[in-house]
Amino acid sequence: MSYSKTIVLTNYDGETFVVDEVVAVEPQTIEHMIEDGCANTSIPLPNVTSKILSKVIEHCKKHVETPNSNEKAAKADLKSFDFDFVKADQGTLFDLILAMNYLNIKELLDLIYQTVADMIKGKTPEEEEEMRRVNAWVFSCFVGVTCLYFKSKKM
Amino acid sequence: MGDRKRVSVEGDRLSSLSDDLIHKIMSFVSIKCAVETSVLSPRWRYIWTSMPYLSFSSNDFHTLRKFSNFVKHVLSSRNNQIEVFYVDLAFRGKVSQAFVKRILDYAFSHNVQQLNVTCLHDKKIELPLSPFSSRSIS
Repeated sequence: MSYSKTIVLTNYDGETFVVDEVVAVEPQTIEHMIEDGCANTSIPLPNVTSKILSKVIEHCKKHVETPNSNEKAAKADLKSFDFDFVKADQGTLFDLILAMNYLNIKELLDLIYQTVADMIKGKTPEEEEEMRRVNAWVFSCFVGVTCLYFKSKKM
Repeated sequence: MGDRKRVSVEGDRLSSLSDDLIHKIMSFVSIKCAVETSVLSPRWRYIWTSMPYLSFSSNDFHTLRKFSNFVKHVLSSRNNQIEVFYVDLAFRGKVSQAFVKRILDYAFSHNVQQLNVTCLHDKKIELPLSPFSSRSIS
Protein backbone atom coordinates (compact mmCIF):
# COMPACT_ATOMS: atom_id res chain seq x y z
CA MET A 1 0.00 0.00 0.00
CA SER A 2 1.48 3.38 -0.87
CA TYR A 3 0.53 6.46 1.11
CA SER A 4 0.41 9.69 -0.78
CA LYS A 5 0.19 12.21 1.99
CA THR A 6 0.94 12.60 5.65
CA ILE A 7 -0.93 14.58 8.26
CA VAL A 8 0.57 16.16 11.37
CA LEU A 9 -1.42 15.90 14.60
CA THR A 10 -0.52 18.08 17.57
CA ASN A 11 -1.85 16.93 20.90
CA TYR A 12 -2.59 18.39 24.32
CA ASP A 13 1.08 18.36 25.42
CA GLY A 14 2.23 20.03 22.19
CA GLU A 15 3.77 16.82 20.90
CA THR A 16 3.42 16.16 17.19
CA PHE A 17 2.51 12.89 15.51
CA VAL A 18 3.08 12.37 11.80
CA VAL A 19 0.45 10.03 10.43
CA ASP A 20 -0.39 8.81 6.93
CA GLU A 21 -3.54 10.42 5.65
CA VAL A 22 -5.37 7.12 5.17
CA VAL A 23 -4.85 6.39 8.84
CA ALA A 24 -5.67 9.92 9.97
CA VAL A 25 -9.09 9.97 8.30
CA GLU A 26 -10.33 6.98 10.31
CA PRO A 27 -11.62 9.30 13.04
CA GLN A 28 -14.49 11.25 11.49
CA THR A 29 -13.59 14.46 13.28
CA ILE A 30 -10.19 14.56 11.58
CA GLU A 31 -11.68 13.55 8.24
CA HIS A 32 -14.07 16.51 8.42
CA MET A 33 -11.23 18.87 9.37
CA ILE A 34 -9.27 17.74 6.31
CA GLU A 35 -12.34 18.10 4.08
CA ASP A 36 -12.91 21.59 5.39
CA GLY A 37 -9.31 22.52 4.55
CA CYS A 38 -8.16 23.02 8.14
CA ALA A 39 -5.30 20.56 7.81
CA ASN A 40 -2.68 22.56 5.92
CA THR A 41 -0.18 22.75 8.75
CA SER A 42 -1.10 20.53 11.62
CA ILE A 43 -4.30 19.45 13.29
CA PRO A 44 -4.56 20.47 16.93
CA LEU A 45 -6.15 17.92 19.25
CA PRO A 46 -6.06 19.82 22.53
CA ASN A 47 -8.10 17.35 24.57
CA VAL A 48 -6.06 14.25 23.84
CA THR A 49 -2.90 13.28 25.74
CA SER A 50 0.02 11.64 23.93
CA LYS A 51 -0.53 8.29 25.64
CA ILE A 52 -4.12 8.14 24.43
CA LEU A 53 -3.36 9.60 21.01
CA SER A 54 -0.69 6.99 20.33
CA LYS A 55 -3.17 4.30 21.37
CA VAL A 56 -5.78 5.74 19.03
CA ILE A 57 -3.28 5.92 16.16
CA GLU A 58 -2.23 2.34 16.84
CA HIS A 59 -5.88 1.31 16.61
CA CYS A 60 -6.56 3.24 13.39
CA LYS A 61 -3.39 1.86 11.78
CA LYS A 62 -4.36 -1.68 12.60
CA HIS A 63 -7.84 -1.21 11.14
CA VAL A 64 -6.55 0.45 7.98
CA GLU A 65 -3.80 -2.08 7.40
CA THR A 66 -5.99 -5.12 7.86
CA PRO A 67 -7.40 -5.89 4.41
CA ASN A 68 -11.09 -5.26 4.23
CA SER A 69 -12.13 -8.72 3.18
CA ASN A 70 -14.46 -11.40 4.36
CA GLU A 71 -11.52 -13.59 5.13
CA LYS A 72 -12.10 -15.28 8.45
CA ALA A 73 -8.50 -15.06 9.63
CA ALA A 74 -8.30 -11.30 9.09
CA LYS A 75 -11.60 -10.72 10.87
CA ALA A 76 -10.62 -12.90 13.82
CA ASP A 77 -7.27 -11.14 14.05
CA LEU A 78 -8.95 -7.73 14.16
CA LYS A 79 -11.41 -8.96 16.76
CA SER A 80 -8.72 -10.25 19.06
CA PHE A 81 -6.79 -7.00 18.56
CA ASP A 82 -9.85 -5.00 19.65
CA PHE A 83 -10.41 -7.36 22.55
CA ASP A 84 -6.86 -6.78 23.82
CA PHE A 85 -7.16 -3.09 23.09
CA VAL A 86 -9.96 -2.54 25.61
CA LYS A 87 -8.21 -4.61 28.27
CA ALA A 88 -6.83 -1.42 29.74
CA ASP A 89 -7.01 -0.02 33.25
CA GLN A 90 -10.08 2.03 34.08
CA GLY A 91 -8.32 5.37 33.92
CA THR A 92 -7.18 4.64 30.37
CA LEU A 93 -10.66 3.41 29.43
CA PHE A 94 -12.23 6.67 30.53
CA ASP A 95 -9.58 8.73 28.75
CA LEU A 96 -10.29 6.63 25.66
CA ILE A 97 -14.05 7.23 25.92
CA LEU A 98 -13.51 10.98 26.01
CA ALA A 99 -10.95 10.90 23.19
CA MET A 100 -12.98 8.55 20.98
CA ASN A 101 -16.10 10.58 21.55
CA TYR A 102 -14.24 13.73 20.53
CA LEU A 103 -12.60 12.10 17.54
CA ASN A 104 -15.81 10.25 16.63
CA ILE A 105 -14.66 6.67 16.17
CA LYS A 106 -17.92 4.85 16.53
CA GLU A 107 -16.92 1.22 16.24
CA LEU A 108 -14.38 1.35 19.00
CA LEU A 109 -16.62 3.48 21.19
CA ASP A 110 -19.31 0.82 21.16
CA LEU A 111 -16.75 -1.73 22.25
CA ILE A 112 -15.57 0.46 25.12
CA TYR A 113 -19.15 1.22 26.21
CA GLN A 114 -19.80 -2.49 26.25
CA THR A 115 -16.69 -3.04 28.38
CA VAL A 116 -17.69 -0.43 30.95
CA ALA A 117 -21.30 -1.67 30.95
CA ASP A 118 -20.04 -5.17 31.70
CA MET A 119 -18.14 -3.72 34.63
CA ILE A 120 -21.38 -2.21 35.91
CA LYS A 121 -23.41 -5.34 35.34
CA GLY A 122 -21.69 -8.23 36.92
CA LYS A 123 -19.05 -8.36 39.59
CA THR A 124 -17.79 -11.33 41.54
CA PRO A 125 -17.02 -10.70 45.22
CA GLU A 126 -13.27 -11.07 44.55
CA GLU A 127 -13.44 -8.49 41.80
CA GLU A 128 -15.30 -6.13 44.07
CA GLU A 129 -12.69 -6.57 46.74
CA GLU A 130 -10.06 -5.77 44.15
CA MET A 131 -11.97 -2.68 43.07
CA ARG A 132 -12.20 -1.48 46.62
CA ARG A 133 -8.48 -1.91 47.02
CA VAL A 134 -7.67 -0.10 43.81
CA ASN A 135 -10.12 2.59 44.87
CA ALA A 136 -9.74 4.42 41.58
CA TRP A 137 -13.34 4.20 40.67
CA VAL A 138 -15.32 4.05 43.85
CA PHE A 139 -18.71 4.00 42.25
CA SER A 140 -18.29 0.88 40.23
CA CYS A 141 -18.15 -0.98 43.53
CA PHE A 142 -21.36 0.65 44.50
CA VAL A 143 -23.03 -0.25 41.23
CA GLY A 144 -21.70 -3.78 41.44
CA VAL A 145 -22.95 -4.21 44.97
CA THR A 146 -26.37 -2.75 44.22
CA CYS A 147 -26.78 -4.84 41.10
CA LEU A 148 -25.81 -7.96 43.00
CA TYR A 149 -28.19 -6.98 45.77
CA PHE A 150 -31.06 -6.53 43.36
CA LYS A 151 -30.18 -9.68 41.46
CA SER A 152 -30.26 -11.72 44.64
CA LYS A 153 -33.64 -10.25 45.54
CA LYS A 154 -35.08 -10.32 42.02
CA MET A 155 -37.94 -7.87 42.05
CA MET B 1 -1.99 21.33 34.40
CA GLY B 2 -2.69 17.90 33.06
CA ASP B 3 -1.74 16.30 36.33
CA ARG B 4 -3.86 18.60 38.40
CA LYS B 5 -6.85 17.91 36.22
CA ARG B 6 -6.29 14.19 36.48
CA VAL B 7 -6.06 14.18 40.27
CA SER B 8 -9.28 16.11 40.72
CA VAL B 9 -11.35 13.65 38.68
CA GLU B 10 -9.51 10.51 39.72
CA GLY B 11 -12.06 9.71 42.43
CA ASP B 12 -14.99 8.89 40.22
CA ARG B 13 -14.38 8.97 36.49
CA LEU B 14 -17.72 7.43 35.62
CA SER B 15 -19.79 10.09 37.36
CA SER B 16 -17.75 12.85 35.74
CA LEU B 17 -18.71 11.73 32.23
CA SER B 18 -21.46 13.73 30.55
CA ASP B 19 -25.03 12.43 30.69
CA ASP B 20 -25.12 11.38 27.05
CA LEU B 21 -21.98 9.27 27.46
CA ILE B 22 -23.41 7.64 30.57
CA HIS B 23 -26.61 6.96 28.62
CA LYS B 24 -24.61 5.28 25.89
CA ILE B 25 -22.82 3.09 28.42
CA MET B 26 -26.12 2.23 30.08
CA SER B 27 -27.63 1.37 26.69
CA PHE B 28 -25.60 -1.83 26.99
CA VAL B 29 -27.42 -2.87 30.16
CA SER B 30 -31.16 -3.36 30.66
CA ILE B 31 -33.27 -0.40 31.72
CA LYS B 32 -33.79 -2.24 35.02
CA CYS B 33 -30.08 -2.06 35.79
CA ALA B 34 -30.10 1.58 34.68
CA VAL B 35 -32.94 2.39 37.08
CA GLU B 36 -31.07 0.63 39.87
CA THR B 37 -28.15 3.03 39.49
CA SER B 38 -30.40 5.81 40.82
CA VAL B 39 -29.60 4.71 44.39
CA LEU B 40 -25.92 5.55 43.94
CA SER B 41 -25.83 9.28 44.54
CA PRO B 42 -27.67 12.50 43.68
CA ARG B 43 -25.70 12.60 40.42
CA TRP B 44 -27.26 9.27 39.45
CA ARG B 45 -30.71 9.82 40.89
CA TYR B 46 -32.35 10.98 37.66
CA ILE B 47 -29.89 10.03 34.94
CA TRP B 48 -31.98 7.09 33.82
CA THR B 49 -35.09 9.24 33.38
CA SER B 50 -33.55 10.85 30.31
CA MET B 51 -32.25 7.63 28.74
CA PRO B 52 -33.14 7.56 25.03
CA TYR B 53 -32.55 3.80 24.95
CA LEU B 54 -35.13 1.54 26.55
CA SER B 55 -34.62 -2.18 26.75
CA PHE B 56 -37.24 -4.14 28.65
CA SER B 57 -36.92 -7.85 29.25
CA SER B 58 -39.31 -10.02 31.24
CA ASN B 59 -36.33 -12.27 32.04
CA ASP B 60 -35.30 -9.82 34.75
CA PHE B 61 -38.54 -10.49 36.65
CA HIS B 62 -40.14 -13.46 38.33
CA THR B 63 -43.64 -12.80 37.08
CA LEU B 64 -45.10 -11.02 34.09
CA ARG B 65 -47.20 -8.95 36.44
CA LYS B 66 -44.11 -7.53 38.13
CA PHE B 67 -42.58 -6.96 34.72
CA SER B 68 -45.59 -5.07 33.48
CA ASN B 69 -45.75 -2.96 36.66
CA PHE B 70 -42.09 -2.11 36.23
CA VAL B 71 -42.58 -1.07 32.61
CA LYS B 72 -45.55 1.12 33.54
CA HIS B 73 -43.51 2.72 36.28
CA VAL B 74 -40.61 3.43 33.93
CA LEU B 75 -42.83 4.96 31.26
CA SER B 76 -44.66 7.18 33.71
CA SER B 77 -41.55 8.31 35.62
CA ARG B 78 -39.42 8.89 32.57
CA ASN B 79 -38.83 12.44 31.42
CA ASN B 80 -41.58 12.94 28.85
CA GLN B 81 -39.66 15.62 26.96
CA ILE B 82 -36.83 13.31 25.92
CA GLU B 83 -37.24 11.41 22.68
CA VAL B 84 -36.69 7.68 22.50
CA PHE B 85 -34.07 6.41 20.10
CA TYR B 86 -34.68 2.73 20.44
CA VAL B 87 -36.99 0.37 22.25
CA ASP B 88 -36.21 -3.27 22.78
CA LEU B 89 -39.04 -5.28 24.26
CA ALA B 90 -38.63 -8.97 25.05
CA PHE B 91 -41.11 -11.08 26.96
CA ARG B 92 -41.91 -14.71 27.50
CA GLY B 93 -45.53 -15.71 28.01
CA LYS B 94 -48.85 -14.09 27.50
CA VAL B 95 -49.20 -10.37 27.97
CA SER B 96 -52.21 -8.28 27.16
CA GLN B 97 -52.45 -6.46 23.87
CA ALA B 98 -53.13 -3.28 25.78
CA PHE B 99 -49.76 -3.64 27.51
CA VAL B 100 -47.86 -4.00 24.24
CA LYS B 101 -49.87 -1.21 22.70
CA ARG B 102 -49.07 1.09 25.58
CA ILE B 103 -45.33 0.60 25.06
CA LEU B 104 -45.59 0.98 21.29
CA ASP B 105 -47.72 4.10 21.61
CA TYR B 106 -45.18 5.59 23.97
CA ALA B 107 -42.36 4.71 21.56
CA PHE B 108 -44.09 6.21 18.53
CA SER B 109 -45.16 9.36 20.30
CA HIS B 110 -41.49 9.86 21.22
CA ASN B 111 -40.22 9.42 17.66
CA VAL B 112 -38.63 6.01 18.11
CA GLN B 113 -36.20 5.09 15.34
CA GLN B 114 -35.48 1.46 16.13
CA LEU B 115 -37.95 -1.00 17.51
CA ASN B 116 -37.32 -4.60 18.50
CA VAL B 117 -40.07 -6.77 19.88
CA THR B 118 -39.29 -10.37 20.82
CA CYS B 119 -42.11 -12.52 22.04
CA LEU B 120 -41.73 -16.12 23.17
CA HIS B 121 -45.14 -17.71 23.40
CA ASP B 122 -46.72 -20.91 22.09
CA LYS B 123 -49.88 -19.29 20.96
CA LYS B 124 -50.39 -16.63 18.40
CA ILE B 125 -50.25 -13.09 19.67
CA GLU B 126 -51.73 -10.27 17.77
CA LEU B 127 -49.74 -7.10 17.70
CA PRO B 128 -51.32 -3.73 17.19
CA LEU B 129 -50.88 -2.48 13.64
CA SER B 130 -49.18 0.75 14.60
CA PRO B 131 -45.54 -0.26 13.80
CA PHE B 132 -46.41 -0.22 10.14
CA SER B 133 -47.85 3.22 10.27
CA SER B 134 -45.00 4.87 12.16
CA ARG B 135 -43.20 7.70 10.42
CA SER B 136 -40.18 7.93 12.65
CA ILE B 137 -38.90 4.36 12.35
CA SER B 138 -35.85 4.15 10.13
